Amino acid sequence: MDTLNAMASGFEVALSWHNLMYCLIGVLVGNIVGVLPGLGPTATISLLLPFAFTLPPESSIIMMAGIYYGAMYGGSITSTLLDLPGEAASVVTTFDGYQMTKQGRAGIALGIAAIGSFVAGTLAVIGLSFLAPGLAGFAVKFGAPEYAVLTSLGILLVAYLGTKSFLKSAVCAAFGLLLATIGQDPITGSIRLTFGSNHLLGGIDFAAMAMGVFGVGEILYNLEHLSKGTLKQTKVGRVWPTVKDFAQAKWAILRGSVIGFFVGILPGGGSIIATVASYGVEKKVSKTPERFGKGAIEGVAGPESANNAAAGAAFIPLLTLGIPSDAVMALIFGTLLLNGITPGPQLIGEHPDLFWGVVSSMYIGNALLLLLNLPFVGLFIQLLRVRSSILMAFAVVLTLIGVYSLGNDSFNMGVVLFFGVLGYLMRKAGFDPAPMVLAFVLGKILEGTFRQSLIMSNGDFAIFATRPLSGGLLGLTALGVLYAVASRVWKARRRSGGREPKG
Amino acid sequence: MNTPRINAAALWPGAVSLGIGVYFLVLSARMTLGSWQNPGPGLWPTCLSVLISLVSLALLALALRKKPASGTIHQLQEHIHPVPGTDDAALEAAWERTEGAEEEGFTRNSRYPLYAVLGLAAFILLFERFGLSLPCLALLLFWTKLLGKERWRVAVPVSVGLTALIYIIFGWGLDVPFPDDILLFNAR
Repeated sequence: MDTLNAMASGFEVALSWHNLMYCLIGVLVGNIVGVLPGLGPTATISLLLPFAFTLPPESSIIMMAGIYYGAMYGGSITSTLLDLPGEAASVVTTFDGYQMTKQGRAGIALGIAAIGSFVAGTLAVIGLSFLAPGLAGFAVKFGAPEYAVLTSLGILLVAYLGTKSFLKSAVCAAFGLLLATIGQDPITGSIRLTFGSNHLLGGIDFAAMAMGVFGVGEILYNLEHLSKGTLKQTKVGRVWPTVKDFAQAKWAILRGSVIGFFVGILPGGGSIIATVASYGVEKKVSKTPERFGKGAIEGVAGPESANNAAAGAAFIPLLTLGIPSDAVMALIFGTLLLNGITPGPQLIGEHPDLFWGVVSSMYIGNALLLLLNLPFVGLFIQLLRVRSSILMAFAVVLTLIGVYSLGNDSFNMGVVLFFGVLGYLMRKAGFDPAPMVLAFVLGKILEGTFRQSLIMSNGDFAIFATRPLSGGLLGLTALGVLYAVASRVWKARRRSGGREPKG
Repeated sequence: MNTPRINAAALWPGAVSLGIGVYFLVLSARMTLGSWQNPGPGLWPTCLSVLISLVSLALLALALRKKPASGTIHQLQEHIHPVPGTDDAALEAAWERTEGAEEEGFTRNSRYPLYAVLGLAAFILLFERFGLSLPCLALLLFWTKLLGKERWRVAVPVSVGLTALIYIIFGWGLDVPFPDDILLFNAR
């Protein structure tokens, strides 16, 4: 079979000693920042962009992917042991995980989380291997109008799902698209919105923007919300679940994997929704729902599996359609672009080494995480002793010097600071920075395909609806909007008709 | 206790984004717009600026309607878009514990980010004039001692150590040409 052959060559790429090393560095760093409060995977990957640019593309993506799913593992450790979710995606784990810790079953909770994550991560990668080539083959037929519709749909979904306020996210997305127009107009060559600066002729540097918004912005925000972390001594106990535990959790793991995978494919679906959906399903399916919130092992196993499956599935829209589905995927997208590779349907055919190498490295990464986490959980908790003041000071200097090293130009240090302040203010104002960065990386494609479509159709907007593929995509969008409106109306009606008691 | 009718903290995000939208609209409208048949460079930015301004107006309208001290949970529910099968209570808790659930005002603690920004700006200016070592050391001391409130005996060795580490990573490892250094004799 083609897929199996391709995968075998992918393993050759992933198993070369240097890629193996970057995979290990990635999952280790991810695991560590997942545990550390205040520095999430998005911030970490942004900080490491200058370093990633010095690597060959497949190695840098292997490392970034490792940080991404490694952080999911790490996040479960602090939520379970200390009731401190390092990531939004691990909040749900605190409900039953921390209860299990209080009952002296911390090790079992962590063990089942690690095993569930491993199973889910692996299933997601298998799904990715078999689904991606077909989807890409279908998308190869896309022309400019299809891309314009698909890209807008992707941005809309990201602004809609996974954020708190759609209107605010829409402003952010439009602002990101606007920022992407700075520099030379790709079609006419005229200069736009550079504010008279020669440095901006080539546009805003993507890395500087991401490092500012995600890195410095988050650090500034955390400075204001100083949390004094106290490390309670927790006994982890035995890590391997018993046969009984495993029997109780196995279906939760499988269901979580499937839910996570399908939610993860949706742009903006991401891990938060996946964990919440999985928790809801487990509670509904369970014969003893009253155990939930009191240390039910399914309540840990399901969501933890779901967030890892979602992390793997998030690569599908990126690698097959060229649509990044969250902030981390946007960073990977930007890195690929800077390496001269446009993520999209052609990627699998033109760069099979990259695609299959990254996919295979995820199998290996998941195994490495399992090996790291089962024996060394106790060691990872000790990381909470690291003073956040020192960590942040180091991170901020690393960011500024890192961005300087990109072009040996201090102008970009100013850009980082500017976007750091912007990122801080956005967080204060309740604006999610992710749609902005995501729209920024897609901005040139969206504008280009939008204008090309209009030129093709002589200014007739019907081109977006009459071509079968783009019309179909538009129809899907319309259905989605209808569903959203209907569900809101239904919810409002239910609420006015007396609220259900919380269970 | 007199509660104000209009919640000022809820208004500023919409007001700022409206300002940005209008500002970019003015800039974009100066460029050649072209036509739908043959779009010019200004068309796309103009569309986006109009979009930003319109959505900002909607945000302002919503903020005006919102009562100052109504429960945040209720407001959150208005904004949550669940996927079938999600557990509402779980989603609420998840959002609540995520940073920045709603817009927030500036407090006394907001001075720390302000100091940090001033410190970083100073660092960039000093870096261009005096090279890496001294500004880096100063920034790290400023951050650990003044912002992080570490003791001197922690702040000093940590700052010196991290400066050396940064120098080793970037100066030696990646061979980055820094501006001429005031402290270290620079061969370049």
